[in-house]
Amino acid sequence: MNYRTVSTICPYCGVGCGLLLQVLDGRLIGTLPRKDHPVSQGRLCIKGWNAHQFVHHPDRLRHPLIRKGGVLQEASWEEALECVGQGFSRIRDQFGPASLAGLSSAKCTNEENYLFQKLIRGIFGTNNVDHCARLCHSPTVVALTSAFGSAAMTNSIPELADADCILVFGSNTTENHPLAASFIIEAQRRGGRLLVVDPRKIHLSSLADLHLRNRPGTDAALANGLANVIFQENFHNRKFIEERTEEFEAFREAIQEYSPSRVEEITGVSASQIKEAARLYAQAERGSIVYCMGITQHAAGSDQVRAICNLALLCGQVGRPSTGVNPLRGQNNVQGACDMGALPDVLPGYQRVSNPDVREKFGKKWNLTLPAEPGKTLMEIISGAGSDIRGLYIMGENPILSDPDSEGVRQALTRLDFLVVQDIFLSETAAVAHVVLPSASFAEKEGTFTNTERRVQLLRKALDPPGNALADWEILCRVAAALGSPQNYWGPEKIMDEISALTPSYGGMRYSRLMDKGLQWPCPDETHPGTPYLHAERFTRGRGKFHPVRHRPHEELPNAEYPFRLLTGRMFCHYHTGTMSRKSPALSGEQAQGYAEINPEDATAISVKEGEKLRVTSRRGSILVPARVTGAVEKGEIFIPFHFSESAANVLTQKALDPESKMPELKVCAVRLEKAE
Amino acid sequence: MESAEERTKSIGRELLESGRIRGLLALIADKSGVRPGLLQKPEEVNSLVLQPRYLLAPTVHTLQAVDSKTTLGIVARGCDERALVELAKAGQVDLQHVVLIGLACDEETARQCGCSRPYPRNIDVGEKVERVGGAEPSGETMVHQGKQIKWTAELARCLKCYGCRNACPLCICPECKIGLDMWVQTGVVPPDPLSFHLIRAYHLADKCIDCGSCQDACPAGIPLRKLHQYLLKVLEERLAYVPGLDANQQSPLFTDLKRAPFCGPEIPRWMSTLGGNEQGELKGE
Repeated sequence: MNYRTVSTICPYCGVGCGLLLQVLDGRLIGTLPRKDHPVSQGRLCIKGWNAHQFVHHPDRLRHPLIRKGGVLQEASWEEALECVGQGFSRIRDQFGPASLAGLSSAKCTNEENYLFQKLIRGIFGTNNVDHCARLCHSPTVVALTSAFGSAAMTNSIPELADADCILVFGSNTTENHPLAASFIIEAQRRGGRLLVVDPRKIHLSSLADLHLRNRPGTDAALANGLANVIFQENFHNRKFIEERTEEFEAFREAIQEYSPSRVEEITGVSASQIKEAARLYAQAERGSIVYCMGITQHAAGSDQVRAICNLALLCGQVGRPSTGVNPLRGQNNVQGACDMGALPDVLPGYQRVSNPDVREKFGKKWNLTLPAEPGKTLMEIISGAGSDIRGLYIMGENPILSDPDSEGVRQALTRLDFLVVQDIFLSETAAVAHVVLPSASFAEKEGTFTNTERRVQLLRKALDPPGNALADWEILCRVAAALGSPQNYWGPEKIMDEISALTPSYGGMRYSRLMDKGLQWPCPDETHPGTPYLHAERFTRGRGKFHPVRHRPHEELPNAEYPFRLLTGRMFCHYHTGTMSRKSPALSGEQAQGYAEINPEDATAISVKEGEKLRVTSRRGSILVPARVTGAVEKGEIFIPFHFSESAANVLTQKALDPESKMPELKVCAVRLEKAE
Repeated sequence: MESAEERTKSIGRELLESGRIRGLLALIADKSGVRPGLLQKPEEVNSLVLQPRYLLAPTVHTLQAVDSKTTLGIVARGCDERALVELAKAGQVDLQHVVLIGLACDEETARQCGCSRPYPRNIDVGEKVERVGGAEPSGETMVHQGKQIKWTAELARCLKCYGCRNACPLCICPECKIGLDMWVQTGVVPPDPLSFHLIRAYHLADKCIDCGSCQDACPAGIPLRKLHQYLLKVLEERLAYVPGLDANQQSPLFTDLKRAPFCGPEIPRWMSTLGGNEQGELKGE
């Protein structure tokens, strides 16, 4: 009998809870919470408690696959690597480096993301590297950088418990970041006020002191309205504005026209609620803002984030414990994947590729030449597939389900000359690849994940990968060698040493220091204790910058032909495209199939009852999905979670882009509904 | 004086060296933090620690399910021991193959837990501390209307993580009712409080050992122990029964329909509509 528990990090959301994997005779038999973890403190959500369940699933990829005669067939690593090496080299030689691209993974470790972008930049020779952060918090990266200078959650998750007022914008926290929600609930117990801005009735809004139920995509107008009241009623923090911010005058001008009555017209939130919320947030000693994809997944995403930053600057609610502007990152390591430069315009630590000094620093260390031109973003890579982009390397992502317009994505990927997908399961995307490389799950490898509060934490190996599968970092080293540039790392720790040498905010990160609690960046040197909250004395960019923001209505509004507004999102027992959660019996037992929330009045009007199938059609496509009749959505709106491939919400969604971050408008589009026969 | 930790280590080492046990379930600490583990060699005992309190009894259940003949040791606090006793009553653990190193909780631990019995029957390590600060549950807890409103607000915070069930050493039904759509609508948060929390409370009414694992695991901070303590109080006052104390004492609620329960109301006649005869005997038995 060989029994042990292995202390590691949850593979689901960005909260990064501490797990103990129970290993009995080489198999995972359960998950326990870690009592000494700084964030989760002995608690987990339904996904965390069942994190072990997909690991031994019979569908795990065990061998490399190569498409022969139109069919994916088992192959040896030698064969597969030769195929990958030749496939990419041929395209690079024939069409140039810019015809290649890579999609990295927010599910993989920092070390793997670092290696991936190194491979794409240094060996492919292009900056065409991006990942699904484009679809969750790219507006955060753009807007928080321009307002504060640092694209991350300003404060630590447990600090939320001490806030007097928490203003939550577009975050279904209890379902999607449950352990972050635990601190919001704790703040309420301690007497703090909770204000929730969300178009739907969600669990958190039912607990809130005030639910500002705005129309989808009107968050910038609402934030401006709050700012207008705060300024009119003299609750703004003059000292803070004067000493620590800039561009206040332009902002003050811009909010003039957002009187409570006008904002009520735009948002549907009553003027009296707007006034009350404004007072509560501005007068709080410690006011904290939490936001998520309800803010970012819009064509005006960057502006909506800026509007929120303006509020914090106006009230001086940033730079102290339990205050700040706190984006909750989606994937377990989406913060880390961004930190590691799996983005087309920045190298690790958000150092710009356009800066020659930066390129020289990295090029020298890597002994490779780096391209200067920023690369294409995820949506540009997909839409360019088959024309500008001929070869694509996807590590641990499933864009067919996660990106807008699924059918469009599938067709684009099949137009590629060469597609390599590296994953733990044969996802919808892997199924159309030329070569599939089998990788290790979170339980089968070492490395680090960076959670949403910038905490770099060690992942520990509990067992070996199945069959011939390998850790992603090992595969990347082999692919690099197959392309003629061997990378010699004996392990992830060695990669981290290279990362910390090149990335100032990770300068003090050493495996020997991460231990059981991890370290929060910025951590510039080996004696630095890490940084629980940012912008204490000064903003990373110097002064906090106000940005005048105007309300921009959605591009695709309901009309006679498509009279309903579709909202998309997630639910508590599944994760993203379901590749892991739907293969976990406890989670699929909780919710086996997709559903569409529909208001009772609308359900009656089209005579559909609970559980009956709806046909939902947009300009892009059409899906069948069972109805869930509920007052959680307003009349004229429906909500579909995007986890379920057989009723995939993203078949319907649109590609309208935020001009700055290239975030597609995933949250909303116009649809029509019929009862399916 | 030898510390409690040192004393535990030397007993554990002796048990392993003598071959009396094949492994010792204990908390261990290394640079990855503190976690439960199975120590199988005497030298591994060096990494043993006692804090924080982490119930180890469920692991005995897990391991005996695979191999019930290997004798294991366990560093057992009062709550671990009571959990093992209840697991033994349910036929889930064979106490013949478990050796307890009885650990009395220090005052601080006992106070943190609000424990009414912070020690096992046989104390090998530590000094017995009597009930400390444990909230005396009141028979009024659930009944008073104002409190009902408070409970409604508490249970509305439930995130449906099932942590209360998962962390409970005695929630061992192979098919848990609160996970079935028939009893509690699946896929919806928060769950219906009556069916979700009260089914669990009633299922544990005569098993709960008041270890507090459910409450510790609750991300919504719901004071779940109060719910269970109320039922335990009723059980003790009316039926003079306390779970977890004696493996040979069956629960007064444990009965089959062949025999009338020795107390409580008689089984009404309409119950025979289930198909049994008037004596309560079911067909086919």
